[in-house]
Amino acid sequence: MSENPEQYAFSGESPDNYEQKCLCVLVLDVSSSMNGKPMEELNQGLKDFQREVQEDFVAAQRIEVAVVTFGSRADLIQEPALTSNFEMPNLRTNGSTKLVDGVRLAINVAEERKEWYKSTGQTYYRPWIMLISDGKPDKDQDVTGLAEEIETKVNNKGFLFYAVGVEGYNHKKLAEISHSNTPPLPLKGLAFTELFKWLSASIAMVSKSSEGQMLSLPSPAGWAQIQI
Amino acid sequence: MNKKAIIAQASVTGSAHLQSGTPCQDSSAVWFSSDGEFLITIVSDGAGSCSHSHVGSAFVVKKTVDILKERIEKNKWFYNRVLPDAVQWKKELFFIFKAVKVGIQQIAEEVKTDYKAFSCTIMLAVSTRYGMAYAHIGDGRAAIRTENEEWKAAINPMKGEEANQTVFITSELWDESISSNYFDANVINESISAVALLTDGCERASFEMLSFDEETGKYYDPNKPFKPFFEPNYQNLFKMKWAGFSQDKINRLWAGFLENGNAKLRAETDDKTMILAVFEPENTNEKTI
Repeated sequence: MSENPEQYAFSGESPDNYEQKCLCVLVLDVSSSMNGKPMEELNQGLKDFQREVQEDFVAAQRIEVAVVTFGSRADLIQEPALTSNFEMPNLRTNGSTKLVDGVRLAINVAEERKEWYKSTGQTYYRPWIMLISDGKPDKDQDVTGLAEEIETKVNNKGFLFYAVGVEGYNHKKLAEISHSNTPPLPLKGLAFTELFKWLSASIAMVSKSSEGQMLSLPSPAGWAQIQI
Repeated sequence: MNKKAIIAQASVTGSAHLQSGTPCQDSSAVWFSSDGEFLITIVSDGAGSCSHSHVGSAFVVKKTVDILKERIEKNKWFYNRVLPDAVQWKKELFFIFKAVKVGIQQIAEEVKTDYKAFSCTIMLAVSTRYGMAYAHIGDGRAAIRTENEEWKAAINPMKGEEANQTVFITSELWDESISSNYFDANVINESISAVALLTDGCERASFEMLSFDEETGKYYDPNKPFKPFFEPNYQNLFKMKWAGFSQDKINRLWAGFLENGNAKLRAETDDKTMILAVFEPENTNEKTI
């Protein structure tokens, strides 16, 4: 009896499972100082970010994005959603720098989304909150209180917090807010596109990780000024 | 003497591990009793964050088989169609896992490394045609094929709050008490025609594990082996055996399938390990399978 070896290959279909979610909340400074070229580049970077996520088959089904902006006030301009389900908003500058209000709103968004994941039985990865600012917070903003909240919540694995300073930013204030393990990184020029490429690649890696895998995220050298 | 079960066994390195130069951290082991009455199968998934977890998982599967063989012999389990008493089995496995944990601590001391660096899960099954005893700590899935040709889950995986968390044999969570929620061992008294054990890298491709219930508006884990995944391979394994394929050849084909067998398997970035064991009916007739 002649046998075709191919006849004996293993084969099997896979089920359709919903994907576990990884939320990324962007907290973006839209104060007047971002007017002009910085805002143009930021808007372009956001669109590139959305495209990069969508081009990754698995990441596109797992990464949810929310957008909070802050100028004279903080607004949630995009509720958490898969990138295929919304059009990236075009940001405009607006007033002063209610940075603390913006970050607090982002924390609320992340916490509420986690509660929703839990209450609906969905599995999820730890959310990311990414702050991008070029200024210093208004005087009425409770930087110390926010710094304490972030330190505690990051230590308790509530979320991951990263801050990026755009030229002219106040490093001291941003460093105070950031968790001690992830100090703020200054953006190289207006390299928003490179920053968002890095962000999509990094979250894509996290969203496919397993069992507390130690990840070597891509180097931020393409967009950050790093002292060697 | 019974015919031995036919097995396919393989571990393949996940694409994320290949990219980062991390070794495959999964391990597995299979051991047959000399009379073919039962077989021991074990899979272990090394923690991605731990530097020595590939060493840990390799040690755990070997050490566990060694101890388990002795204890089965001493208790005269699985001979003459006698399954262990579930309470006795659980007690025995609790102490076996503790002994394996001590073994990890010893090898960690020898290389002066924190033993948590060897963290890994463990899932084992001792299978016969008439039933199965299992034990596990951590995630991964197990499936059995019943007499009426249905596939059903044999265990519930232990998952953490976040999608990439679980419990390891090196954890303090499970060994404080035999009734810990993080240690599970039991006996299934039911005719079995096949068993599959897999690490979590294979679960999305082979199990229904995140579905949406429209009535409640909630997502849930049905923990249901996907028959269109398992059944063709159950059949294929018989065909390969009857075509005279060597164990090595079957395992190579199985590794190729886990690596690249369909879109879900291809898209998975984690290490993937699966053992599929099928029992030939006692009066085998090719046409009846």
